[in-house]
Formats: sequence, structure tokens, C-alpha cells
Amino acid sequence: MLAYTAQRVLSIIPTLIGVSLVTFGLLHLVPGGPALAMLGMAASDPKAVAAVTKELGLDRSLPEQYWIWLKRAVTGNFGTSTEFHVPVTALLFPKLEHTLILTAGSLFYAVVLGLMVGITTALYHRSLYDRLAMLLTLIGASAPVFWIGLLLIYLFAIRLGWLPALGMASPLGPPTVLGVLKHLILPAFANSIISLAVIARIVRSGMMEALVQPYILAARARGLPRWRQVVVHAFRNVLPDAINITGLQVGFLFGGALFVEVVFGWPGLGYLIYSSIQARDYVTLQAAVLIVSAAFIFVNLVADLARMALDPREARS
Amino acid sequence: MTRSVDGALTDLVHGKLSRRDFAAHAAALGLSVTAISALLRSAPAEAAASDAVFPITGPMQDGSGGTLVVGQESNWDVLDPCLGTGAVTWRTCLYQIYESLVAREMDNPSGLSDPIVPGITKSIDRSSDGKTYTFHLQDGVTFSDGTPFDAAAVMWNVERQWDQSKLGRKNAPQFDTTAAAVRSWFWNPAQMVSMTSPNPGTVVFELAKPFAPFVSGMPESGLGTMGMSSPAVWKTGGTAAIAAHPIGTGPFLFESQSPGDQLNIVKNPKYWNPAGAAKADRIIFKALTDPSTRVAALRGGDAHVIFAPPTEEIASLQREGFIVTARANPHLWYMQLNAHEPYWKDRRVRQAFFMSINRNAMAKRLMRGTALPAVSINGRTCPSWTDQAGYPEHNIKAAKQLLADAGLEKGFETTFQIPTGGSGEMDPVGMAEWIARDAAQVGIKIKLQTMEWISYLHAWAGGMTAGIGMNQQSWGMTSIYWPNLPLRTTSALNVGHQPDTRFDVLLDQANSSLDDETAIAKYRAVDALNAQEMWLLPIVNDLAPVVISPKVRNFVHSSDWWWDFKKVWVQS
Repeated sequence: MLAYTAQRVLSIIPTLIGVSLVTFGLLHLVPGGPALAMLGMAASDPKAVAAVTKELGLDRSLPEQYWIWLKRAVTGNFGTSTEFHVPVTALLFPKLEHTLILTAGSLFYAVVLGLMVGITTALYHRSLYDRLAMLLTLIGASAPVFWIGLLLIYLFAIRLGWLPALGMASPLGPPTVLGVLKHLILPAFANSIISLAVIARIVRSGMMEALVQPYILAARARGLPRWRQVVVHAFRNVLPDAINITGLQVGFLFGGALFVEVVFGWPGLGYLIYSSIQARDYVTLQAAVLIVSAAFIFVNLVADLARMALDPREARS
Repeated sequence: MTRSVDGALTDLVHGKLSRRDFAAHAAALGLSVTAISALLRSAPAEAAASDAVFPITGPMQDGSGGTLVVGQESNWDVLDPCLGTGAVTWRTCLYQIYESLVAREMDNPSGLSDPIVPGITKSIDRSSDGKTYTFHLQDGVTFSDGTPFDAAAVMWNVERQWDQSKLGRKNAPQFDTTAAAVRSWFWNPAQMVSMTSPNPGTVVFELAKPFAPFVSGMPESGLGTMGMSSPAVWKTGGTAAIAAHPIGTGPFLFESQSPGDQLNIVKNPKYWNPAGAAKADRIIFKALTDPSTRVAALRGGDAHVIFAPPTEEIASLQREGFIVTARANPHLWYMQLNAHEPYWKDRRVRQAFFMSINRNAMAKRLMRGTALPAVSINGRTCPSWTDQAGYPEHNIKAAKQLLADAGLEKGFETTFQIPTGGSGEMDPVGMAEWIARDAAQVGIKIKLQTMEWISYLHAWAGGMTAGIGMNQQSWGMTSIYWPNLPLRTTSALNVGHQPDTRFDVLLDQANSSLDDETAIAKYRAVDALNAQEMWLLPIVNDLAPVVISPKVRNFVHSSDWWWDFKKVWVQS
């Protein structure tokens, strides 16, 4: 287990270098660049473009640019944003914190509601509730997140007026924990729907399979209460798969935040990535993608380790 | 159902009733034509220049206080007057913090354009040979850090973007390559050779030759050409310090920002001009890039003002009690034709294409009245704007005849390069599809080639290549200077490679004019020449609708690209 963990942790480094290389390469394939984005209409003056390109160091060869970036990145210096002219770390980490809050809220919905729906539909499968719940999860998994977000805003913020429409806190006063939680409800739910549906369907399927196994029959024969049969015996066998899929969903929720943050005006990393692409802010974009990738890899590592801890067969293999 | 005259007048002022409908209602109530005319004149909020259904003001009322939340359609970028190039950066955020050496009055509810007015410059003298401009500075102006705004500060700011190496001199320590590049469109043609200060209240600019747009061009393109920032800030940490601690002479002070999310500014209690002091206590700018999100923010009470509302939402927002304002401004949505493509070499083909486009219907139906058909290459607020330039009306029959005369009765195929969105671009894809549909009626088959904004800017700035028949851009200035950029044969913005040097001759004559009337007449002659030659096709002028909450007071729709919020306040 220890050797496996060490091996997985070490494999993060080449993965991150690979991700940064691919991102770097892709960014430089896209037409235009920061000089054009900064100059706007003055970009029609080739001398002006050349001067700014040189000032930004973009006239150097791509390997040289990448090497300079990598050397700085390993020391924690991600450079200065070409869009906002502030250090990328000052820009990135507050946004990362906001996205983590949104991801945590989304994960809460996805796991709690996903498990509840998955377990109960398995228990009452082929009932009207089961069919209705599966239909809703199918719709949830198929509908675009931004569309669901807008529907939620229309219903709960505009028509009913129960919840705020956008942002992380009211712009008209200092932020409070209660205020942030209130602002979190709609975007977190919108972001969670697809993951919720996926978790619910996988848990339902696993539970249906587990509930007809001989050990459940044995548990029932021993007179164990129903909840114990379901939670301790059936669900425990579904748990490794549930954790595995939840780990993957964390990355998905992190990425899905991009759409949700734009719709709900949530000031997070996804929105920053979106605006950095528009402004060709390579410096910020490189760092943001690296952080998202690192988070994704780390969460999957934790999920793998948790799965091994819960399933002795995995650990043995 | 007949409403009262007062009710109809209120609806007219709030944009729920057009002038024509108001007149019909008033006539139904038995009012005379004279009375109706008088009432129409008494409605100050009506956009007379546009004859549109939108007013140019919200409720006007004396008072002060409140926090104004403004929902913007994109991020602001660098909070530095020399480097901030994003439209929204200057349009709303920085304009409140910094002031330009040349001020314009953009919030006059009855004015149709925005004349140059005294600001931090009291007055400007021009020498009889048109080569020397003397700026007399306002007394007692200080930056918000307490340092004086004087001739030394002006010269320091100009030296940040004035590339003196072209004159064989050493650039100032604060010279910034990017700033010079961003403003090169102004400083290069202005050909300034010296800048002196005979006393702390006076700055003298010497030009190599007369340049008529010298003063009117200064506040253009984001005011950054002459937005004044405190030299003391730069001394604390260079260019980065200016963006981190924006210090200007304006009616508001920078308070804090979360880049890409929220920017807070507060009233400047020590503003140099008490009569022009800010009314609102605070303004919060929110970056709300999704149009539906902006509308939701307005409806949910999280924003008081939203820019660029989706046109399909405008009617319902008006019904809900929000006020939609709009106003003519320098904006022009125009097309340029690629002179290297053989089919455009015949002037009749260019004319036929222009005549095939139904710009009136496009403005009314596609843009739902939020735009006007363009009749000039000059912005509607520009002194040289005229509706007499001679651009032909939409006429399919005449267009077909012209094509037949040119031997192209069967039409031809061409490619139209457009962005999917971008600064001031309105609905480029929808508009291009409209143009393609119209052109197909005369046999011109247009293939659309769409690109994301920065990629498009890359392609556009390089000039049209073989196979591209036309492209599009949105720009315009209140300064008379603008036609120099797309029409001068040597300009990098002549992206269609138009070869007619008669434009250059007229533009040179306009720029070297020693009086405004001559310069304006020459720029109108450039417009008239283009109306014949049709290298640059003026399509529509955006009225730039804005939606405001009924709580907002003294909001006047700007007649320029930039907005002045100092008179606005919010009723609690």
C-alpha cells in the first residue's frame, strides 16, 4: 500500500509536466496572442505588435519560453497576468478558494442526494417513484448546466425571490458566512445535477445487484433489521464503486464550475480560465490549468487510496 | 383604450411609447398639432437624434447617496490610464477615477453631441500656423494622493507614451513600450516635436505640421491618450504600482478590486471641483459576462444598471418597470471590401452590393430598434457627421441593373470574415447572415467565415488575404480624425487595401486645415467620395441600450463611448 502510494505520488510530477506542455502547446497554436488582446484596434500597427511581443518575451523560441516558465513555476512564481497586471498567485488563489467552496457545495449535493436516490430507487425499483426518479436523473444528466442554472435563477431568484441570483455575496455589504451559504445553494445545485444523476444511477445499479446476493438473504434469515441489511451489508459492497465514481466526479464538478461560475457570476477559477482564454492571458491560463490538473490528480489519488482501504481485495491485488 | 395625456407623456419619456404613437394618442384625445409638438419638445428624455423609442435619461431628481451597482458585459483589464485598452475598462471604471486633459460633456440630457468643455484644462490656445497648442491648466487641482496636478505632471504622463526615440532623443524613465504602442495611432500622426512648460499652470505642445484633430483626438480610444495619473505612485513601484493603486484627479477614488469579479470605487471627498462632485457614495462594477446573468442580476436587485442587454429582453424589461435608455454615439458597424478581389474592382459592383443590403430593416427588425441605419462613415456625434453624404438607399432592382452593367448579372461568390462577438460588435453573426440573405437577392453568394474575437483581430489586423471578399469592424470617434484610420491608403487599418489616393489628398487637406469649418468640410468630402467609391460600407450605428432600475436617479445615457457617473445617485 505504501509503495503504491509513493508510486502514485511520484507519477503526479510527469503528469503535471505533460499537462503543462500540452496546455502551452495548444495556447500557442491558437491565432492571436496577448499583444493583440492588449492592443485592441492598435493591433493593426505591426510595429506596435512587435514592440509589445518583445516586451512580453513572446519573441523567444517556444522551448525557451516554456523553460523560463517552468523554472519560475517550480519556485512558486507564476509570473504577472498580462490581462490585469497583477501577480498570478494573487489572482489565482482567492479564485481557487471560491471554486473549492463551490465544488464542495456541489459535492455535498451530488453525494448526499445521489446516494439517497440511488439506494431508495434500488429498494423500490420498478415502482412509480423509481421510474420518476430515473427519468429525472436522465433529464438532469442530459440537460446543459447553464440552461439548468438559468431555470433555477428564474424560478428561485426572480419568480419566488427566495434566493440570490448571482455572486458569492451581496455586493452591497461585507460578506458573511450565512450570506455565502445562501448564495451557494443555487450554483452548487446546478453544478451537481449531472454528478448527482451519475452517482444515483451507479449506486442504484450496484445496490440492486447487492440486494439479491446470498449474503443479504443470509442476513435476512438471521433476522437482521432491514436498515442493517441495506446499509451495513449491501451498501458497504457498493461503497468502493461509489467512492471511485465520486472521485472522478470531483474533477468533473471542478471543471463544470466553469459554466456555472459564468451563469451565476461566481468569482472562481473557472470564470478566470474563461476570461484568460478570451484575453489570451497565457501566464494566468498556464497556472490555472496546472492547478486544476493538480487538484484533479490529487482527488483521484485520494479516491483510489480510499477504495483500496475499503476493499481488501484491491489492496491485496 | 385611450390613456391620459400625462400617462402617454410618461410612457414616452420612459421609452414605452414612440413619438409617433404618442402623437396618435394625443390626437385621439383632441389635442392640436401645435400642442402635440410642444409636448414632444417638452419631453427632454427623448432621443431626438435617433427618433427611437428609447429615452436618453432615467428619472431626474436632486439628491445624493446610495451605492450604484453596474453590471458590465466583460472584464475590465489594467487599471492604468496608459495601458487599459478594454472598452469597459475605460468606458465605465477608469473614467470615474482619472480625468483627461481634454474633457467632453457626455451627459447633457438635451445635447446631441459632446462638445469639448473645460475640465482639468481651463482653456486651449492654438497658434495661427496650427503648430503650437498651449494648454492652460485648472488651478488648485490635486491627485487623490494629495500631490499637485500641474504642468510637470502633465508632461510626465505624456512622456509615458510619447516615443521620443523617433526624434533621436532618449525616452523618459517612465516611458512604457506598450503604452506607446497602444496610443501610436494618435502620437505618430500628431508628430509632436517638443513639449515645454513656461510655468506650472501651462503646457505647450509643438507639432511638426498642423494637425487639426490634435485636441479632439486626445480623449479618444479610452481616454488613455491623455488620462492623468499621479507620478508619485509610479515612483513607489513603477508601472505595476499604477495598476495596483490607481490615483487620478477624478470624482471617485479606487477602493478595492477582485480582478474579473468586482471593482469598488468611492466618492472623492476632496474633488477639486465641488460643483462636479460625485452624488453616489460608492459604485460597484460587476463583471457579468453572460447576458442572461446580467438580466437576472437586474431583476433580482443585485444590479442597478446593466450594459448590453439582450435585445429580445428589452420589451419585457420595460413592461416590468425597468427603464431602457439608448442614444446615438460615435459607433459605426462597417464593412471593408478587399480591393485585391477582382469582382470589387468595378465600382458598380461595390455599389450594387451596398444597395442590396436593407439596413433600415436590419436596424428595426434584427436589432429591434437598438440601432440606426448608418448614413455616414463619421460617428453620429462627430462634427463632420452628415446625412447628406450620398449613400444610396436599398434598391434591389437598381442593384441588379448595376451588376448587369458590370457584366455580373449572374452574380458571384465571396467570403465574409466576421467575429462571433467582441467589443461593440453587436450581433455580428446575425447581422452577417442578414447581409448574406439580402445579397443573395441580387446573386451575390456570401460564405461566412466566423472566428472568435482575438483570432479575428489577428486576421483582421493582418489585412484581407486572397479569397476573403470582405470583413467587418465596429469603431468610430467623436473626433473628426477617424476616417484617416480605415481609408488612408498607407494606413495599417486600410485592411481592404483600397488604392484610391484621392482619399489621402483630402485627408491631408483636412488635417492641415487651420480652422474647424474647413477641416469638417474636408472630412465630409471624404465621406462623399466614399459614398461614390464604396470601399468602406457604413451599415448601422449602435444606440447602445442600457437598462436601469427605477431607483437610479440622474442617469443620462452618454453620447460617447465613455460614461460619466458623477451625477448619478440611488434612491434607497
